[in-house]
Amino acid sequence: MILIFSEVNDLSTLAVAGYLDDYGVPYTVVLKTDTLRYTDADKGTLYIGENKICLKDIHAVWFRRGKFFIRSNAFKDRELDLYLYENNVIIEDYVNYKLEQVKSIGSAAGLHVNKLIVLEKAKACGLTVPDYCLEHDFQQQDATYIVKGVNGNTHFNSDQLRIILPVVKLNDSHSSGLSFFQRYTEKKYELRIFYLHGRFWSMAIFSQNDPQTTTDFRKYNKERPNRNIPYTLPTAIEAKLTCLMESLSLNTGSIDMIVTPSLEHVFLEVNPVGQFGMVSLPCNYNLEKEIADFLKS
Amino acid sequence: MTYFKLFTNCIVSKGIARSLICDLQRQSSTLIPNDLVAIITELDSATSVEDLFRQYGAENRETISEYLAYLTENEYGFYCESLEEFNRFPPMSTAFSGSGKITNAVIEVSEDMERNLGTILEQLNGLRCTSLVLMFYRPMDIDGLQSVLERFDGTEISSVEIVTAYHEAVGADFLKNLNARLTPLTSILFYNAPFDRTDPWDRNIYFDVRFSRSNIHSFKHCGIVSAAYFDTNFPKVLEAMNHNSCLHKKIGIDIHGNIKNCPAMETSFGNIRETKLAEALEHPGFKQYWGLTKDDIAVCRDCEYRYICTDCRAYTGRTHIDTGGLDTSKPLKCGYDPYTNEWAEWSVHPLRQEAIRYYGLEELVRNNE
Ligand code: SF4
Repeated sequence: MILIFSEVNDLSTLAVAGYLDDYGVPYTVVLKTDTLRYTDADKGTLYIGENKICLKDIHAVWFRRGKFFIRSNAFKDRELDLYLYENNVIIEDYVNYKLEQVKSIGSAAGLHVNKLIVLEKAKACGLTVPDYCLEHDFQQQDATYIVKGVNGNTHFNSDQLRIILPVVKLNDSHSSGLSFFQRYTEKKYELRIFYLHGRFWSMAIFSQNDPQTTTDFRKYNKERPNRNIPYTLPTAIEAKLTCLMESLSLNTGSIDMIVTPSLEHVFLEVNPVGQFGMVSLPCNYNLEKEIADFLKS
Repeated sequence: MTYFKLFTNCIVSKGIARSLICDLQRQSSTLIPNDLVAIITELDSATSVEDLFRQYGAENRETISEYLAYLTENEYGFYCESLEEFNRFPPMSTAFSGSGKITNAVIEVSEDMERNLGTILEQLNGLRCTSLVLMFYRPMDIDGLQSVLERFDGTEISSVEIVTAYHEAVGADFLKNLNARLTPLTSILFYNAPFDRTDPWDRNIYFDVRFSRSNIHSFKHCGIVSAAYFDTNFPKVLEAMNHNSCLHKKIGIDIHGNIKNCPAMETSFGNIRETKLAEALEHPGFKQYWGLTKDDIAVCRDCEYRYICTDCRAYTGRTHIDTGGLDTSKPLKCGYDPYTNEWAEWSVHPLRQEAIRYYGLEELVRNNE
C-alpha cells in the first residue's frame, strides 16, 4: 500500500495516481479534509475516515501536501482543548515518524527551510552562492545588491522585486527592519532543478533575451515565452547539491540556480515542496511516471 | 570555438522537398528549406560555427550567416561558447507517455443505445477514458440532451463533444438551458443548420457552439486532411511521433453497437450488447494500428507535415499493405502532395476513384462539389 498525502484535484497527484492505476498498485490518497485516527492495534493502525490501514502494510509514503494530523474537537474549554491538543501533537509526531521509516518522498517535517542555514550549508558543500548580507539600514549605495525577504522562499518578494536594476529603493517600512541583501548575479540562463533521492532533472530557462524578465522569469512574457529546455548539470555540481540536500535531510526538492555568462553555476535556493510539473512538462521528463515507479518499486 | 544549438523543444520534421520546424513550446510550425535542415543537422552534430563556414566555403558565407540570423532572431536556437556548454543540452525525449488504457471514445448513439448509455459510460470510466464524442444522427430536444449529460455525473470523463442535427428550437435559451448544471460538455455541433458559424465558449455559454450547413448522417464525413486541421500541440506531436495520431488509445462504438477502434473502420471486436469494452480491447487485433505512425505510411513518410497532421485508417487510398497485413496507404481524403508541395482536391484525383467507390463515398463527394 502506498500512502499519499495531498489536496483535492492536485494535478500532479492525479497524474501519478493514473500510473499507479495502470500498474494495479494499491494506494490511498489522504486529503486535508479527511478525518484521521491512529491506534496501536496490530503494531499501528491508521484510520482514514472508515478506511483502515495497518502501518506494516504501507511500503511507501509520498508527502505531497500535508502529513498525518488529528483534527481536534473543540470543547470550548480552554484547559481541556489545550490538553487534547498537546496530546494530539505527540501522537501526530509519532505517527509521522513511523511513516517516515518506510520509503518516502518528502517528509512530514521538512516543509520549511531556513534560507540563511541553507546558504551557509550550500557554501560548506562547495557551492557558489551570491554575496549577501543582513543589515538594519543598508546605506551602501551599491546598485548591484537587491533586497529580498529573509524569510522562507520569498526569493522574489513582489513589492520588493519590482525594483528595476540598477536602482535599489527600499520601502520605508522596510528600512528600519532587518533586511537581507543579495548581490545581483548576472545570468546566461536560470536553472530549475528537480531532485529526488540522488537524481536530478534540470531545466534551463533562457530569460536573458527579454529585458522585461531579467530579474524574474515568473513575470511571464506571453508572446515570446522564455525558452525552457532540458539541461545536464556537471557532475561536480550534482555532487555538491547532493551534499547540500543530504545535510538538509531532504530527499526531494526543487532547486534554483543561475549559470553566469562565464558559465559558473550559482546556487540560489531550494524549495522542499518541489513543484515538478513545471520542469516535467516543458522538458518531457515525465516525472509523474518516475515518481509512480519509485513509489511502486 | 562557437557552437550553435537548436532549442531542443524545436523538432525538425524533414520532408522530401522541404521541411518544418515544429516548435513544441510555442506550439507553432514554420516551413524551412532543406538546405537549412542540412546546416542544422551539421551544427547539431557538434560542428563548430567556424568549421561550418570553412566547410561551406566563401561562396556560401552569406547564406549561412542569414540562416543563423534567422534562427536566432526567431529564437529557434542559441550560441554556445564551448563544446562543454553545448553538450550540457541533451536532446529532449520524444517519448509519449500518459496513463490510462483508453483516452478517447467516439460513439454513434442510436435511439436504442441512448437508453443504455449509462452502462457504456460506466465502462468507459472504468477504462479511465477522459474524452468522448457522441454522434446523434437526429435532432435532440433539450430534455434529451440534458438526460444524456446527466449520465456523466460521478464519472471522471472531463470532455464531451456532441454532434446533433439542428432544429428550430436551437437558440440562446436552448443553449443556456444546457448550462443549468455543471457537465463536461465542451462543444456541440449542429449540422444541417441554415448557416455556418462558430461561437467559442464564453461566460454565458460554457462550451463551443458550431453550426454547419453540411449534413452528417454517417461517419463518412470524417478523415479529411486539411492545413486548417494541422495542430502543433506538444503532447499530440509526441503522440504522432510514436503512435497513430488518430487511433491510439481510442475506442469506437458504431450505430449498430459494434465495438471498433473507430466507428468508421470495418473490423468489429464484438457488440456492446454482449461484449464488454474491456474485453474487446483485449482482442489481439484491436490495437493493431496503434503503433502505426506516419513514418510507416506511404507518401506521408515523405511529408513535412506528418507530425502535426492527423491520420485516418478508415478511408485510405488502398494502395499499400505491409507484411503484417496493415493498410499503410496515404489517407484518402488528403489532397497534399509532399513531392511538389501542392494542394489539390482529393476527390477528383483519377487514382482515388476506385477507393471512393469502395467506401461508397460517391454521394458525399458529389454533395461537396
Ligand atoms: S501527405 Fe497528407 S495525410 Fe500524409 S502527412 Fe502529409 S498532409 Fe498529412
